[in-house]
Amino acid sequence: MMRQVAALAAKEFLVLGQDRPALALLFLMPAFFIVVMGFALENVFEAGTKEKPIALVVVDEDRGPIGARVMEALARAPGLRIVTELEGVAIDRARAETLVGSREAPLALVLPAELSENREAQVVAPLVADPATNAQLVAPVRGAVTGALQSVVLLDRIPERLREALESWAEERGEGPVPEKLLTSLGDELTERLAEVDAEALVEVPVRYPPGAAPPQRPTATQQSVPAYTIFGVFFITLTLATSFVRERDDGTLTRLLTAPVSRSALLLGKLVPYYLVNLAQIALMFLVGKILFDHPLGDAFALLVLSLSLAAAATGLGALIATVARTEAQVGALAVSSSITLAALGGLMVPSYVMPGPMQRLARGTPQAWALDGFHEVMLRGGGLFEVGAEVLVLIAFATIFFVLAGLRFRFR
Amino acid sequence: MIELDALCVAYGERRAVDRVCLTVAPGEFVGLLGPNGAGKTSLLRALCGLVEPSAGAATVAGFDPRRDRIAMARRLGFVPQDLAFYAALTARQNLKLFGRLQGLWGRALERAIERALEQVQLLDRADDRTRTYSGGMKRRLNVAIGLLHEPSVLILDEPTVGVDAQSRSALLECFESLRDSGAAVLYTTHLMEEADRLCQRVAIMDGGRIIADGTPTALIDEYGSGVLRIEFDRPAPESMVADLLERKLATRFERAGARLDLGVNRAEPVLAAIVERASAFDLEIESLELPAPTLEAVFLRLTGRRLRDGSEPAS
Repeated sequence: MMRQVAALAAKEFLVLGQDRPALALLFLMPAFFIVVMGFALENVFEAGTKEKPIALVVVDEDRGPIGARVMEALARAPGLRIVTELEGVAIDRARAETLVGSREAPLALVLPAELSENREAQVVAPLVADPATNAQLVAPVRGAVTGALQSVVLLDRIPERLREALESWAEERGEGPVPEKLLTSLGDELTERLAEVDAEALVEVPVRYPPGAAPPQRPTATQQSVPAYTIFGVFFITLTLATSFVRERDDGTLTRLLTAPVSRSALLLGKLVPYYLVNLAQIALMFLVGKILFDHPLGDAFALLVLSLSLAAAATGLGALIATVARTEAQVGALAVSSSITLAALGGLMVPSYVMPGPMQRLARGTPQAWALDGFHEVMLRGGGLFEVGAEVLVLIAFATIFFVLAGLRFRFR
Repeated sequence: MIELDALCVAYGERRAVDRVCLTVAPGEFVGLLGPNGAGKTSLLRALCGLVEPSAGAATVAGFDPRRDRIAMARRLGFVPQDLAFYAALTARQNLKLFGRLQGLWGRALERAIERALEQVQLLDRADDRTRTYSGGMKRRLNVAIGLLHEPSVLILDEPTVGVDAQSRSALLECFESLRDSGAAVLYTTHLMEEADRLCQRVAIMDGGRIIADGTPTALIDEYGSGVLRIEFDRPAPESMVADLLERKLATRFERAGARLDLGVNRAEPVLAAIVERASAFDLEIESLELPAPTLEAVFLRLTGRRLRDGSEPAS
């Protein structure tokens, strides 16, 4: 039987080897996807870090001390690069809006006039953004600007609030008016002392990992996305596998194989094993691309292997199931592509599942993609071993079993 | 050998094969003829173990096609009507695959491949991808795969359909050599001259049943009605025609002046009677056209001239 399986598998490799578009789909497309998406979205994922700061055009219409202090605070903010002039010419509000409108600058901040003069009114500093600017980019800049403005304005207004508090306190106790000289001295002293305070030294929010999940180095967002793209590519085997099944059914070769002295299990094994091996090769290639181009961490090799074997089984099983459901190549195309994309989206390969609404997150647990992604993140990013990904491995094997059993029940050996 | 005993194949309520009894002995080349939808494909599928008979029994090379499928398949060579091989592979690669599935390996496999390629005259193109082949070459490879393991039972389902005269001739020569190999061959075709040339026996199938079975000569003798056209020097008297009909020498007649057309199964006995009767009535025979009854005439007589557009279910 093993010789027959080997003969059938060899045939499958030969046929697949002749089908260059299918090979490109299986190997080049996901690898290309990783490379292109990795580099293209690098600025989106990495934007706002020290290495890749976001350029923020700032127009200081205040031109007073508060505006100047806000500018200093923004300049110190990590992940921001302040732009105030272009080719030696200071940028005004109109020019800033033009720059954003023409997408030459992603964002512009306008510090309002009389910011330093009018110390009672609410400060409204508009952040000018193109409607198409990614929210992932706007949110951290808005947070940094708000923080800088709040700290400067608050510090500026504390002496005045102190003066009011002292006058009110004295009045309530019938102490008579507080001497103006004292109030002025206290205010000046406080302003001076507060100016000396290094706010950044006071507060720090470092990223920490749960016990036992500390990676050797902090993964970048691009590195985090490599497993997702890998899983996405792996499930495209369903298209090639199911097409091959339907083609054999249509051209009569399946009938001929069925009249050969081959057991049906050998027939199925000879058909499925090559695609399973192709799946493993896909995973290896994609992780290699991730490692070479993005220095992607791989983690525990044994856990990674077991997880990859389980994932490939689930993907091959789904391909076999689609082959038994679809009757024509067109149906295979529609079913395989739509299921790959839908399950990828649902399983958190395109958008992290933790940002999805609760019901969608629960639904995501019903996809092999979500479990595979969890498993790869555990091994590659959290430094987990086989024990830590045991549940993911078992669930993927369960998915594979269900797919193969359903395919076996539906497959017609006629 | 092939033995069918009241074999039935049904798809739901519809019986595609209805109590068929047929035997193909070792060394016998039997043609299975029938119009489209007659039940031939269903019968062949049942013989190959691809479909479960609803009643009756089938034995191929001594094995039940369903229960002993693998043992039977080792002795069976099946050439389907579809070009059932891999277009992306070469002829040699295709033969290697199907040879290995038949349990042939190493030198035995190499020898079998060379022999099969030679049989169908494809040796010079054996290492070309089959998608570059002409229709005739593809048909020949389709046949070669079925012959590769020298089966004791061969089922050929319209193996020459759609090929040119040269390829057909090559294939027919190949099939003729099979007659001497001792294999039991069941051959379906719509080409009567092929059946006439190759088959020692012909079974005609219609409506799921075998409606005639015998050697081509016996079938022609029994069912091969033709038209014997005689020109006398003057119109033949009615009593002479009535006498021929009464003696069942003619099945029908048509007169036009001195010309008499007689429907006859066999010309020889009629001719003797005509000569004798003409002499008795003092008639002179001016010309005679002798019919040449064919298998096609038998087929059409048995299955009728109504067009059949129906097809059999695939399974």
